[in-house]
Amino acid sequence: MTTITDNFNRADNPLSLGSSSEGWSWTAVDGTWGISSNNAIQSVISLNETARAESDLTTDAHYTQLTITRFASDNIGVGGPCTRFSASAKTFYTYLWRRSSTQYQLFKCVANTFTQLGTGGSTNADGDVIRLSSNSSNQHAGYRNGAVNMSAVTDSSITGNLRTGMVMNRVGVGTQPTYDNFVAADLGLMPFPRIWTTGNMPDLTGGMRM
Amino acid sequence: MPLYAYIAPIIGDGKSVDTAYRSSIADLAGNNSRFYIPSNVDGTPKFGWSFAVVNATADVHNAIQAMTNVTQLPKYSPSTLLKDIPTNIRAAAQNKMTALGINYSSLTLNNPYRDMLALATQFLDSKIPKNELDDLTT
Repeated sequence: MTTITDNFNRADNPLSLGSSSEGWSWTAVDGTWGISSNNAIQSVISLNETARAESDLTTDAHYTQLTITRFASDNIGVGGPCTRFSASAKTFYTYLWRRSSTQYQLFKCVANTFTQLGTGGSTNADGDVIRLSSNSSNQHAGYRNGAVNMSAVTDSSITGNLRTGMVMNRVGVGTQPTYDNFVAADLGLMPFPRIWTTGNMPDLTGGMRM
Repeated sequence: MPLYAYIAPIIGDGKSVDTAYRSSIADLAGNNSRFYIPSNVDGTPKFGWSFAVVNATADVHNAIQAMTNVTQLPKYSPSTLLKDIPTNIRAAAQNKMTALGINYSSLTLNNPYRDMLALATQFLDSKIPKNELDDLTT
C-alpha cells in the first residue's frame, strides 16, 4: 500500500508545480502549471491540461483526491483528479467538473482522446473534495466530500498504470481555479457504490451489486 | 428518477472533454447515468454504438425515444425470465442486438433477462460483470 500527498505549500512559481515535500516531482504533461498562494494553478488559459505525479503507487487499484479550493468565476474552467495515469502518454481516467454541463462527469482519456463514461452530481462549491476511485475490478466511481457522487461504471480500456494526476481547464480571464491537498493511494478491500434511487431499488432476487 | 437502458450511437471526435466521444444521449442524461464505450489503443471507440444506463425523467425519456437510431431495451427486472417478457418486446430487443452482431444462441427462455443484457455489455467489454445492470428495475 502506497500513499502520496502534496499540499503545494511552497514558494509561488507560475511556471512549475515543482516537487512535493515527499520528494517526488510533477510533470506538466500539457499546459503551464504553477504554484500560487500554496495552491496548484494553471498560469495560462488552456483546455484539458494535465499534470502527472511522478511517483508510482503499488497497484492500478487506487484513488486520487484533491480539493478544488476555488472554482473559477461563473464555474468555468475546472477539472479534477486522475487515476491510472500512463507514465508515458496522456492516458488516464478523470472525474471532473464540466463547466458546460454544470455537472461532475467521468471521462477516460486514451492517447489524448476523450470518451465520456458517466455523469455525477450537479452541485459544486468552493472547497469540494473530489475523489476518483478505480478498483481491481475496473470499476470507477466518483465521490464528493466523502459521499458517493457517481455510481460505479466498469471500463477496462486503461489498466496497469500506477501513476496519478490532475486535469484543469482554465477558460476565462476571470478568477482562476485552484487546487490543494492532492492525495493518491492504493485501495484496500472496499465495495464500490451504486446509488439506489426511488423506483430503482435493488433487485434482491438477483443479488445486489456492491 | 428511474433508470432506463438504451443502445445509442456514439457521437463526438474525442479531441476535448466538450467534444468527447459519447453516447448520443449523454447530453440529456441526468445525474448518475453511465455509458459503456470500449476504446481502441488510439482512443477511438471500438464500436459505433454504446450501451447507456440513463437516469431520466419522463420528459427526458420521451425526448430520448424520439432520437434517431436510439433503442430502449425492455424495462424489466434483470431477474425476470425471458419467457415472462412478452414475445414481441423480447423479439424486438433481440433483433436489435442481433443486428449489432451479438450472438444469442446460448440463451433459452428460462434464462433471466440479466443474461440477455450481459451478452450485450460483455460483447463490448468481457470484464463487465454479469450483475453490472442489476440496478435496472421495472
